[in-house]
Amino acid sequence: MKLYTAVALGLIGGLLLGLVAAVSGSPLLIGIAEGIEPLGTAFVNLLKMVVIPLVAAVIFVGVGSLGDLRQLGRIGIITLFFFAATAVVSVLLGMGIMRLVLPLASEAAARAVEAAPAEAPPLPGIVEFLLSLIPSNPFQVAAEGALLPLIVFTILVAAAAGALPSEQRDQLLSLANSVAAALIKLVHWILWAAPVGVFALAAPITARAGWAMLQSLAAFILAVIAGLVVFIVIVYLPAVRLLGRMPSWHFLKGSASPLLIALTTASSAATLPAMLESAEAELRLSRPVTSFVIPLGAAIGRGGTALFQGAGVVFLAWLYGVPIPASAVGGAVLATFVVSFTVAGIPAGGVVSLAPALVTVGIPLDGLGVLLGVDRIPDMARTATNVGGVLAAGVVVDRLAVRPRPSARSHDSAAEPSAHS
Amino acid sequence: MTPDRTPLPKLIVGKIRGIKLHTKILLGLILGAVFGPLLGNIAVQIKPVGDAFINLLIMIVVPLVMASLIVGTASLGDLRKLGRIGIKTVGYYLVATALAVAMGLAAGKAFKPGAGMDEETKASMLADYAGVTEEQLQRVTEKPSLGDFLVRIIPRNPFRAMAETNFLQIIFFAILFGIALTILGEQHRKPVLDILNTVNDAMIVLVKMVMRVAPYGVFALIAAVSAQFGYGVLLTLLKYVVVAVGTMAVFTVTFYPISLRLSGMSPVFFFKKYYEVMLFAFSTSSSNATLPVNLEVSENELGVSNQVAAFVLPLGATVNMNGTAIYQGVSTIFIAQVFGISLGLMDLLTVVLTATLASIGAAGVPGIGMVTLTIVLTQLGIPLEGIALVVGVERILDMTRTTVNVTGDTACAIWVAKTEKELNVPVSEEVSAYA
Repeated sequence: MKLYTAVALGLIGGLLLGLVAAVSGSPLLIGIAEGIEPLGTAFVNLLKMVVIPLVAAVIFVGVGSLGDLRQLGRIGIITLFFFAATAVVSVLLGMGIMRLVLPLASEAAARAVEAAPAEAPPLPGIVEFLLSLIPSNPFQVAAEGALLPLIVFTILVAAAAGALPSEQRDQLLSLANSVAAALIKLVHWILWAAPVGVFALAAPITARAGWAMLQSLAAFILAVIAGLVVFIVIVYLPAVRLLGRMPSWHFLKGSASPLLIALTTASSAATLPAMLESAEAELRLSRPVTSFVIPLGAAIGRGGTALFQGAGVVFLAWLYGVPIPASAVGGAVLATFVVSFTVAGIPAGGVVSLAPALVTVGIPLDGLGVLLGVDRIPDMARTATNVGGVLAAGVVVDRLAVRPRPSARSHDSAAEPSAHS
Repeated sequence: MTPDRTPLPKLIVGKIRGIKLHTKILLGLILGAVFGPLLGNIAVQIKPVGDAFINLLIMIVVPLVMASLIVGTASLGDLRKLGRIGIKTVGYYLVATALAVAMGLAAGKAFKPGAGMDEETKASMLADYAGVTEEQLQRVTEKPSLGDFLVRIIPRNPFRAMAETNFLQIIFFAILFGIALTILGEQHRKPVLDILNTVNDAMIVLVKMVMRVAPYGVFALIAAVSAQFGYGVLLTLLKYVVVAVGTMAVFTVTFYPISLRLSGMSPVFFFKKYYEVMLFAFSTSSSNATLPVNLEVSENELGVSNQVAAFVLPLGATVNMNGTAIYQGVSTIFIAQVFGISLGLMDLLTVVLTATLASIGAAGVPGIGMVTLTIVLTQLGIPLEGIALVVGVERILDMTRTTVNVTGDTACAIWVAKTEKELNVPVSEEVSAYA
């Protein structure tokens, strides 16, 4: 049995167990579903454990062995452009689909969900955000698990290492290479536990979800999930097919494990090890891509979140009877788009970071409470979409920026002959 | 000029220089204890010197443990052996802890430290230390459950585990990383192991440098403690302190020598080499601060291999606390006696079981000694305010039990090393070691 088949079975089994427990209300089943949760948490923690050192090592190897910093620039620009373009499409798609589904929504039910008005934590402004990219202390950033500043620091150090005489450079690179190889081995082992971990994560979610609450926001959840599926089908798959020249089926099969893990953990960071693993082993992307695009994407690739936010703005505007003039759409899109890059690291960031967009359109911030109440399920779906987008970006960038240049490819494989062993 | 005409000051300096380091540390301790009360306020003011000394030791401990455990695991090469070492270590810790609790309880039962405390003293103690207890109880309200033990030992982020000096998590990551290195080919393993070996060696050099200043650090620490010590409280609780410290001493000179004999090492040889570490533990009253010195002495003087020491000692620093276990036994009985609660055999067995399991299950929770005591007291239905009765002499008992805790870790390491054929006493010492 392939790993992703086992993971999918674990997911389905867990959802079923939780569902049966919730519907039957049997204390025993609910007890089991909630009792196994530590196993799921242990699995997520195992994945997260690897992330920070793995990101540092992998980016160091990728950038340090690139030799040519212009190629890094090219890869970076294409990656950012891919994420930016898909994010704009995504926001608009979310708004459009929500519009279509609105007639199904029941206002009374949605009002009932409204929890205590959410305290919107202050979001960093653009300047603060850019400043926060530069870590004042790399160890502190690593201990806090802040991916973006860590990536910035690692790229800078790796670029500096690349400029050293070859003897010193090779020492550092072979060290980072070995560390990365050992951590990837570790990821292999952890992924063996994925079917059980996914099962243990999925069961308590459905057992606890509360059927009534889900129904009340069914229209919103439906729109988000439908939007995400449509988005993947009309944006990511064609991008992979046309720009990345990879058959859709091959892409989906290769991405299955990370997508399933993203779905259950609802955390891009926790999925990063699985993404790296399948980008290298299944999708066979080149080293510069796996080592640079994938970690960067895990930090900023938020196609799914953008769609969710677009849908959220339209839904809340309807709920509070605030009209969205065409001119405000532009502002909302911009606000959503900019903020979607900065949400990394904020819990439930996808909801909370809606605040600027809501303010632009003039929707009361209480609306955040409505969405937070049912966020778990949309969170799972949008994380899976984000991860799909990151892998799609990997395939596209691999094709556009790396593969057409055989010289870069051979340089890369010469620098680390045994990376795939 | 003949050599014996050396001027007197130079002679004295020479004599002092000639004293062995561990003797100097002992001198520092004794002088500190004597001069502390005499110097009074000045002694309190030199306390930062002692704190700096502790910080120096703790500074070394995280990189040292990380480096030496990864190297140890990766050079073991045999995963089954690693598993055996793990099982033996945990087994030893469980047995030793259970025996220690039992001994503490027995001593409490036999010597009745809490009997005959008059109501007035009791009331005034409860009132005096009520604030302190409340603060401590606040910290331990979160009951650690065996269930989330699994979650607690897996680090979500190894750098944070290092930043927080969380040994269980560091051990977990280092072992997995070490195993991964073992499985990778030689050309991958070498660059990492070379660096970590160098880091390890450099840290050991640092440990030796810090040990040079140990006599002064120990002096400052002990002087401050003895200057600030509440001798009045000590007198009131004298019986309790004597029973607790006495039981720990008895445990140290019975259980460990037997364990050492079973490991084929002469107890005299052991204590001669090891008392230096015990002095560190006593004056810093911190297992973590003692760990670098303990690793150095266990590996280089007692001959425990790096593979065993790097695993058993850091684990022991968080999990294995024989001294604390004795303290718990004695304190439970003491508090129960003061409150006039009599404990039956079943109660005592419950204490042994709870304290032993809690010491493993609650591992990695800060302030673990107090946590376990709370759990035990709750289990028996003894009022938790009772902790106020023992808080006054906490410091001196903490010093003593840290010493016993640390000794227990090394005794275990020697036994595990012996059974795994990883014990290599330095050649020059062999005769006395096996005598």
